[in-house]
Amino acid sequence: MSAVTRSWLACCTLLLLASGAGEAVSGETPAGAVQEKSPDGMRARFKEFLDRVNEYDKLRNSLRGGIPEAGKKATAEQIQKHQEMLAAKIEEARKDAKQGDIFIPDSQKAFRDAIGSAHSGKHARKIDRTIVQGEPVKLDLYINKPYPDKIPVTTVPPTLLQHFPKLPKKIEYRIVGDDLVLEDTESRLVIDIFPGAFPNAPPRT
Amino acid sequence: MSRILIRILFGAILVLPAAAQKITLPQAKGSVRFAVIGDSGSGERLQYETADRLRLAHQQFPFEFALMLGDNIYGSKTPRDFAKKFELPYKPLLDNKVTFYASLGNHDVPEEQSYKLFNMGGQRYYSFKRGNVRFFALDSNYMDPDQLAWLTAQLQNSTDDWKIAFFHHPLYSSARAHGSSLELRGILEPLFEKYGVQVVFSGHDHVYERMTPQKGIAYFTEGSSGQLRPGDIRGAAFTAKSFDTDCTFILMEIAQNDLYFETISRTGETVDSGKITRSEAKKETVPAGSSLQQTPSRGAVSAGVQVLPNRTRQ
Repeated sequence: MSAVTRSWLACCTLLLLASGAGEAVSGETPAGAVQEKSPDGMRARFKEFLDRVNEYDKLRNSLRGGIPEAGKKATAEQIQKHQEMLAAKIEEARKDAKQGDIFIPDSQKAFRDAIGSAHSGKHARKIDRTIVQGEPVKLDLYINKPYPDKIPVTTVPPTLLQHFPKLPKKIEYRIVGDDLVLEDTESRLVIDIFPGAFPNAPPRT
Repeated sequence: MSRILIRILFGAILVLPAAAQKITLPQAKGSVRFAVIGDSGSGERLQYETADRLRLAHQQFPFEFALMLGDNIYGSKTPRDFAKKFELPYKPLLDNKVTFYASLGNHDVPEEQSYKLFNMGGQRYYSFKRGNVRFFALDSNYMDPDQLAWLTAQLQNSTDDWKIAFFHHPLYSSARAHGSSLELRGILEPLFEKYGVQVVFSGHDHVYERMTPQKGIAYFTEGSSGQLRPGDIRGAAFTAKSFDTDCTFILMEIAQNDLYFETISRTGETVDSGKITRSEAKKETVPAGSSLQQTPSRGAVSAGVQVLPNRTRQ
């Protein structure tokens, strides 16, 4: 093969890759899926979810007024008082909250894809191991009710957290049974539940 | 009733050999002295007896502070629980101005970060400095990208001679109950290695285990300061010393380039001791906000350790 032919082939290959035609030709990865997996694509898929989480965060901020702060150097009594008073206000303000208010169907699909993407390949076994080592639990949780403080918090695999959208401070993901749970760690209330987010989850105690 | 009596008698026999404890740490002038406890907050007899042994150790070796490796308060978290599972067992130490620095375990709640006696400054993860040592307390329950970015920046900017990380889930453990946290190891160990963390403490498995240095890092598991899983250690190629027949705590002393450790059981027996020497590798500082690619080569920042056991019992 001459140098000219090699250059021509290299140029064709580059153009093909740049246009995305390479993926179209292989037929393995539709262009839409590539877009969704890019940071912008992921952000767009989780936009509605994040809007709803931020709405919750705003509500919580507005309800803190009049409640003694726990701060950085609180007694156990102050921590408990703050948590219980805030929880009571949020429970009242969200008394009509129901499962799926935040994990709407589109968001559930986005999370399912994110879990599938994180759980594929070499990371799968490590993720499962992390969940098992975190003393996973299976218990009935209720929206807008406290996560029981006697129950350990399950470890959320770091690989999953890299695939999930970032949450406001003091709101965290939990894995409980096969479900993905949003917990307000300040009031200890369960914000929402995505049932069956982990259909192939390791066994729970 | 007879069962209760047997328990009390058995307990008495176990704690009876309160042999005069002789701590062999050098107590060098100006050294950094601290204790390490993990999985302590059971509120049960084992915690109280181990805490009492720690009090006795403090009389001979007046450490200034103690690291807590998580599971600081098991079960419910009422103010009464904080008293029963922390304030009462460690009251003599608290009265003697010993400062406790906590990290969160899976049995803790994030709001423990606000508890003044845990000195977490209202953060799930934080760092503090004592002498020439920088300590990094991490939340291994929830190792999100924000925490990793924070840790990377902290490590990059640290010019301290010693860098010590502590958190709940062990990167190396040969215990049957949980074992090594491989996913976490894959994420944290490269950072520790790159930025010269010399010592890592974890809990979670209710045993004591010291690992042979891995990639130049000394790893300790201390998850038996209030809970115990007797016979849980399997042993692995990385196990340097292990102890799973009684509760323990570790005493540490850092004097210049040497870190001395002594692990003591609930009955006052020294079950492990030795010295970790920091290599004199020249360190280059990294400007704040530098990316990972801008950091010096691994050999330049990795301090590395050499562990010399003093006397170990098999």
